[in-house]
Amino acid sequence: MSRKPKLLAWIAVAALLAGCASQQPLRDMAPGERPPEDTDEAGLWMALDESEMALQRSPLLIRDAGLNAYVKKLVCDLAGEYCRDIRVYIIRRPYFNASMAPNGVMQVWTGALLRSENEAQLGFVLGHEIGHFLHQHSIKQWRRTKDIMNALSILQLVAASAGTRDAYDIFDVSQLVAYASLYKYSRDAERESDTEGFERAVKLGYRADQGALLWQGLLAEDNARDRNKPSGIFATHPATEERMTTLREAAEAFANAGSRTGEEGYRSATEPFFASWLDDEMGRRHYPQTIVLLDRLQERATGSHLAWVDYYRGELFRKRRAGGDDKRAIDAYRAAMRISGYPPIAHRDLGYMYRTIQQPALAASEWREYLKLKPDAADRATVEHYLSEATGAAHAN
Amino acid sequence: MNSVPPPALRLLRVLLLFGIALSLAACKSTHVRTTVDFKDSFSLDGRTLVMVEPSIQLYQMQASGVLEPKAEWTRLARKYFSVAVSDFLTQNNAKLAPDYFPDAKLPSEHRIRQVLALNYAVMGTIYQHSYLHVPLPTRGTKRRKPLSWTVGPGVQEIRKVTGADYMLTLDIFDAYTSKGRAAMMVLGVALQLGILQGGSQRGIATLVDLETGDVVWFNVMTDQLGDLRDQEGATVTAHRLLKGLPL
Repeated sequence: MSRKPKLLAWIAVAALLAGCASQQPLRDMAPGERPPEDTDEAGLWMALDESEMALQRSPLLIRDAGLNAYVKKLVCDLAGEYCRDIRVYIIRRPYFNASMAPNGVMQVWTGALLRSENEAQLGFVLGHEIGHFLHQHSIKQWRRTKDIMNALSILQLVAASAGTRDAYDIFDVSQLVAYASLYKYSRDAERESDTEGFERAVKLGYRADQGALLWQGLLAEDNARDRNKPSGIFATHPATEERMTTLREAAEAFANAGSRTGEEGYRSATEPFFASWLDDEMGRRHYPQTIVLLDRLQERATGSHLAWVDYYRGELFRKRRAGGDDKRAIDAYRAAMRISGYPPIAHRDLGYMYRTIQQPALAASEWREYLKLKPDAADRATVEHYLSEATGAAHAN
Repeated sequence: MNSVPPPALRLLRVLLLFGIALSLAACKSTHVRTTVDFKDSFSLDGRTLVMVEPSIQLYQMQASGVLEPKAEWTRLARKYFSVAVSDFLTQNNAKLAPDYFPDAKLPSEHRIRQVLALNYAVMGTIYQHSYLHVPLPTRGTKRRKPLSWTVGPGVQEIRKVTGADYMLTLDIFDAYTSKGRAAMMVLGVALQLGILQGGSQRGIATLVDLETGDVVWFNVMTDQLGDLRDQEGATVTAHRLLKGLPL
């Protein structure tokens, strides 16, 4: 680049950033208030109200009254007088996520409920979302995006009309700077919400180290990720080492602030869903990550939860079938069966494992046990079919 | 490197682009399909129609082309459009029942939700195969064929709660060119860079017989100049969208 285009480039970039600084003031946001109808924010709300109707129709919505009341109460404790502005939707999706729309729609995905170990950890997540709401991050981001896109399209016209290579270079650089500033802005918003969530949870007497513990678990999962598959939460949330350090330091500063973890309440609210959420988790087929998660769940699981963790470990190895997985699967099913209250389907699926490795006699005995424990099994006819096939084969041997 | 054309030719090119841009802006079309005998044997005389979950959304196109939803315009458009449809039906001796929105608390597996979900799926399918002409082997290759879709008699649930004879489903998207966008469009042409897309209107509608569930009429409307932001414009749009109803 010669001197002149370089200068032009800097002017362009400066203009872009200056354009973004011209932000409208935010609302005071009193509880229960809607934005005035002639504003861009009201437009955003209107579009979101429409998508809320679609959410209400969604088959992925978990409508269980007990679970909804539990999560909503925690939201209300955290949000205080803004409680009535927030509507909670629990969505059956096995990824760690929660989101907050400016019109008050909060989505909590079951993957986040499965990964939170107690009320304090979930409280940190929900508090974070409430932080987005109270700091009006969505509308700020929307205005910024609009400004930047407008500035970019003007630059694009200028670059195209100049038609020179330098002009295109300037445009490319400006575009990068613009997008980078959008991402940086988004990460700053995440940081601000982390702080808000942390403070609100601590104020309610929850243990201050729980947010950091949760992120530590998520980070371990992400590190096990198959790099060819997209990262979930970490694509948009501040990269973790820094975030964890910040959270840990904050926790240390408040080490004596509270002692509640709310483990019991959390367990009884989520208990009825534990197995189905694990089942959904298996459906992701991100096996290395699921193994990390199962290890983490096993550390704190008791009673039938322990049996479910072992059972799904068996399922994972049976389905993955990497080297050595067949034996791992058998061991895991057997471990599940040593725990009282284990699910009878462990026998059925161990039977399927034996069938796969051509051990019909062993398979047959597991299937018999399954039908004995669960005489009214919905898949009785299927299992009986396999059973007759296996005993026939066993005789032939 | 740039070869500069003589000024006269340059001017001609700019004028040509403006001409094309203007003619595009005036583009409008409707695309009506009905069942074979709809026009002859069906009559809406004395019948009641109900709009079920009508979706009308208005946007403003920013200079960049980003669409910004507009709350006030949308609220007014919904009101004006309802009035226009109602007037249109009254003039033709038919009636419009109050818009029907199922209770937000109805679970997704509820019969009404299921029927409506099916209705939207059928509407999308008709759009795809009857309007976009994505070939469907079971329906032959002829381009203009009568409608032969049904949602099934499950729709009688909608009849029970609304008392209407026909269900009108519609989805209207309407975007308006902002001053910034207009300037960009003019600049684009003046600098001979091409024609940028401005605001536009698109509506899809179906009419379902609430006794049999048959889709008896279907229309797609596109327009670059239609305006739902006042009663007069809404009336024009409603008339164009309801074109071909046997009234």
